[in-house]
Amino acid sequence: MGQMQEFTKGIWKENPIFRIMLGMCPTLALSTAVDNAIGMGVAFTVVLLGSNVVIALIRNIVPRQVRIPCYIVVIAAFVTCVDLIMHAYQPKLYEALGIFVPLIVVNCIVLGRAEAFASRNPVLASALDALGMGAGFTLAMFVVSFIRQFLGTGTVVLFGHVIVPRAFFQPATIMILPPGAFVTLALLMALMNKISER
Amino acid sequence: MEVRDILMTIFSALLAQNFVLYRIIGICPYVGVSRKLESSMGMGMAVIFVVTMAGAVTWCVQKYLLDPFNVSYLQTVAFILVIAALVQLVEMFLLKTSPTLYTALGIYLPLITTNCVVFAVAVLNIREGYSFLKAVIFSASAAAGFSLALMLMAGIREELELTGLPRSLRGFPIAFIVAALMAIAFMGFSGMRL
Amino acid sequence: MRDAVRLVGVLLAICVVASGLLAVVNAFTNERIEQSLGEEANKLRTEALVGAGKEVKFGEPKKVGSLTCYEGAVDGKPVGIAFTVTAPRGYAGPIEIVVGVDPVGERITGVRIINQNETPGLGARIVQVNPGEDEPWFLRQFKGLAPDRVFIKPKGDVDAITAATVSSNAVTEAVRQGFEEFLKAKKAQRGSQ
Repeated sequence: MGQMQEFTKGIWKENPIFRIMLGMCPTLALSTAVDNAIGMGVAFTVVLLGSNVVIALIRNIVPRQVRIPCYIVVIAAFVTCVDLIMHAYQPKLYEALGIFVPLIVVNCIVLGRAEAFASRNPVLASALDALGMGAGFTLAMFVVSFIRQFLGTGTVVLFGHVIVPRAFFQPATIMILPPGAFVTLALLMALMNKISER
Repeated sequence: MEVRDILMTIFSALLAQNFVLYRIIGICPYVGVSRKLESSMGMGMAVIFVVTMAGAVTWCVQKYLLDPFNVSYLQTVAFILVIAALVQLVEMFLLKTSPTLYTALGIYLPLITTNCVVFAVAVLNIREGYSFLKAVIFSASAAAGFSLALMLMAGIREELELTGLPRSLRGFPIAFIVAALMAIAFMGFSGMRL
Repeated sequence: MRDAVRLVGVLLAICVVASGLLAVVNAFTNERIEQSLGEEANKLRTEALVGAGKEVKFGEPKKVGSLTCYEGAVDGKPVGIAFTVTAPRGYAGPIEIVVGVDPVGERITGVRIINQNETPGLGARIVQVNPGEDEPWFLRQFKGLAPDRVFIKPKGDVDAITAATVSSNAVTEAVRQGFEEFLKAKKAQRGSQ
């Protein structure tokens, strides 16, 4: 596969949320506001990039029998770094994301890419794979959170800038509650199924 | 610790703040294993077993290893390793002592390592500052809540298999819509007082 | 046997490297984290006493009854005392609240929420700021109230949030009880001096 394709496949064809359907917990739980969604997307991409690169680097030294625990330690280390740095420099975002920052360590996508890709591909390809998957994840989070925030609060605010002005309808609070998350993702997935059916 | 506190902890973790339908944790196994009622029961039992133990063990790790040496930042690494090792041990133990139980639960055990619920419960026990007893009760109740949601979902999905759904809705989409309806139902539990 | 040693060795080596890296990152970020926690607490206390944007100097925390109180001063002049109370039963858990009081006039100067998990769009409106305003309207109601007015209408002067009576009640109760305890303990202190 050409280098660029390693990157772009993560965005549409092998989008981790809509196509591979892994790691949906943060997509559902943190898509209540666009700010949080993007914050999580960035944090996730950083962890994925770091772990993919390191695992690709050590892939020939790690014996097969202990590879999973080794990968997990690497991932956990990056998650902790991101956790500490976010807590120090973005405390508001840190509080909003709550327990989902450390939960990145058990995110199926991260370990999945490590096992399926980084453990058998060179560093550059693994890095591109990580960036692509991260971008796809962030894109999915952005779309879901945009819909939920708009229907649930009537307006969308991005880093303090109101990008969708107050709507004419009374917002449906249920959209920013768990049921709204499930329904939004369900309908988006169904839509994507329909599109790829043709 | 008074009885009311214990009951509230159980009630909250099991129903009002159900891990799957309120906190939205543990979705992957939730939609992945809930196709058949029987496998859901197996997974549910395994989860309750592992999560309760993991909650207890990680609490001790935090109290006797991480806190005294002031290395709380190693929590993520330590906890995930402990959980992975614990699951491995449980699997080996089951294989040796009860082959029947192993055949029933064994296949689900490796899946539980990356189950968000185990790790989330372990971290929450510490973040909420629970005592050991409360941590164990919380862990068991949270896992029971997960299993409950899982079995309810499996029951519904088994019936759904027999209907004629549009192709694009089959699989995950309809599962999530069912989850949405269940989440709305469970919202009825919040705000209850004892 | 040699294989087992190699397996464990690699895993151990990775753990050591990871731990080392984390120790370094922790050393870098620890101070900043402590600092920002302190900053946030100060910011809320300032707002509870004089509103946002002003420079308030706080003294050392002193115990009044069971409350940990911080005395605030602007340009050397005392502007009130701030303490924290917790409403144990909000709709979705405890709510942490900062209450600012004027001990001389025995009135509330302001209330701010530190931590809450209430339902967005309903109970969470205790911190909702209407466009164009600078503080949550629900909390603004507490300003200038004497303890006997800190009740939901019609018993007192506080308008509850529609469809969020549990959250409104929890906050009001906690604020009033904290205020009453403060005044009682202050009187006791003065009495024993």
